[in-house]
Amino acid sequence: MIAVGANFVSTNYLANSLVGPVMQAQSQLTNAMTEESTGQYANLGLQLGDQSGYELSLKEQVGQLQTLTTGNSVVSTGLSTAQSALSAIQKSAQTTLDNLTAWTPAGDSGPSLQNMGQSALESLIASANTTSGDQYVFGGINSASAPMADYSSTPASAAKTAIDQAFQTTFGVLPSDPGAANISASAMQSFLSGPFAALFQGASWSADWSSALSVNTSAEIAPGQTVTTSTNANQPGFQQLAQAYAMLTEFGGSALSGDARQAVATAASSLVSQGVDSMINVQAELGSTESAVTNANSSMSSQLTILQGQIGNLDAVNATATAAQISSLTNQIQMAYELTSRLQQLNLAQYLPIP
Amino acid sequence: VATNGSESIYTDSGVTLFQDTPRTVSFTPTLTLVDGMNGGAVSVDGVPITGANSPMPIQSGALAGYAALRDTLAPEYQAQLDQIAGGLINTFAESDQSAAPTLPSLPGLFTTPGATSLPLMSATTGLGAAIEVNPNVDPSQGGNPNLLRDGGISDPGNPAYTYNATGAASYTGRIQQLLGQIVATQSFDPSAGLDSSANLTDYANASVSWLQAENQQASDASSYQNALATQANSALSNATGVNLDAEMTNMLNLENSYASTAKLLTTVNSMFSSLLQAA
Repeated sequence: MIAVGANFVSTNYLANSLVGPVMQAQSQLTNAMTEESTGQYANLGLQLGDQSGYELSLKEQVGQLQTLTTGNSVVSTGLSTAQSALSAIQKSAQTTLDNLTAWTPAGDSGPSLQNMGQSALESLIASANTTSGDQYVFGGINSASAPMADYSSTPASAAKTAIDQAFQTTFGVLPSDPGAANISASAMQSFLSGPFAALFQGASWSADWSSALSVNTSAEIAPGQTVTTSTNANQPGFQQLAQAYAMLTEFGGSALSGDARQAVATAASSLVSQGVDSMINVQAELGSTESAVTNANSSMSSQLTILQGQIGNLDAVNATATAAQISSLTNQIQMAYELTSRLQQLNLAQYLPIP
Repeated sequence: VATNGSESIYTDSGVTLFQDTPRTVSFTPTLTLVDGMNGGAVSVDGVPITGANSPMPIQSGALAGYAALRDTLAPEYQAQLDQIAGGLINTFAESDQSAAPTLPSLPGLFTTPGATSLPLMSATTGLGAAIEVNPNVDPSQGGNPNLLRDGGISDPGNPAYTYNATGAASYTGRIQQLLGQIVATQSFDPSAGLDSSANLTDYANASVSWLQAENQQASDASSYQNALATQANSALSNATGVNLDAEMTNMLNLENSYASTAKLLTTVNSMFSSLLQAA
């Protein structure tokens, strides 16, 4: 009988003792290879445990910031489109203003006042209907339809009809009628500041001129920071310029007396310069939004860097350490195979002479 | 093992598995397990050893693990998912937008088939399985995705639930309101095992954390038990197995003594024959 003690090892155990470690090393090896190739823990949830929720909330924040950054590029495009349209409007207003200052009734034999108004009005309407993507930038939240309708269309636009009507109600003739030559400068002045001006405000403006909504679009440009991201064609600047250009277009023709036309030109130039001032204000507002968007983008991009670093700390594996682990595991497994085959040789029967 | 040499086997909680005769281990399967219903218990000799009503519940092993998963972990996780579903439906609910609201709030983007009111957070059982995107807003089911912007998903024919009254294309009020509601604190049923007051995303994250913490714990316990089993196995093998080298040595010893005994016999035999020839 053999004593069973601390130094006793059964042959069965000796032969099988390396199976367990080899299997363990193999499963670690598959994990390590996955980690090496993906750069992430093989079983992220198991590795992080109750930190998993934190990891998810970080990833959520990253997603949110990335979405906002993408959205901001749309906002920026819209804003710079609006800015360039406003610049165009301002430039044409400035040109008109210069021309009006130089204009005298004596020097105008033809319809130059009228032409001036017409081209400026067309360019105003075209600029107001600027689109960015498929959105009308001056439509307010009603960005799907053009904010200003064509003025000189056939049949006559609602705006033109309303002006003709107002003129006829006041003076009993149409502006193109030769009878209009009798209208005095003071009568013209009071018409322009009274019934005519009313057509460019409030309900008449919305009905005849603009289908824009006065509510501007707003967007979240950074977490918790919502800004107004557009302006609309109901701003006073648009109304003043449209009023000035429309009076030039309608009453600048030669049917009126020189004095009356002088009154029209004076009223128009004062409105245009007011309009230019209003447009500058609008541009300044949009500009401050643009800079807010730029600031939000840069602060979000630095936040993204921090968050991604944090996520990396949680879920990324050290590639060098994993590579070292793989090579040590491979060695370990090779060693175990070697030992197993040696152990099989280690048998007393091998060393006895066969009788 | 008793003094008289008889052997008995007990579970770790003390229920007899074998004494003189093997005891019956029984389990009555439940054919259809509806949401929130617990399955039958495993019994030994008529005594339940799993489940909440067991007087002597088993603590470890495959049966205990399966039973814990079925009776505790899975239902708790299900309760959490149901709470998340309920929270989601309530977050996207639509309220009456009339100047003087009279109609109740209804499920909006997320709903359950045939829902006519918002779910109560204390009765969300089965919501996680039933929640769906409202067909009124799902283009693949003939819905109108613009309702997500305008509101009125719950009842497209009823203007009371429409937030964007003008139908303007760039209306963002409703969507911004929804974004705000997702991060707003709301209350959850504490019986699901998580915080009773949190915002929806935090609650969902906490649920993931809970699950993975359980995962980690179970994995740790499993590797500990594995190491224990390996140790026990080697001890057993050493206690009951033999060493071939030792046995071989024994055999050689026997062989040698046999051979020398035989040699002795031969020698004695030859001595006798010499003696007899001399006579």
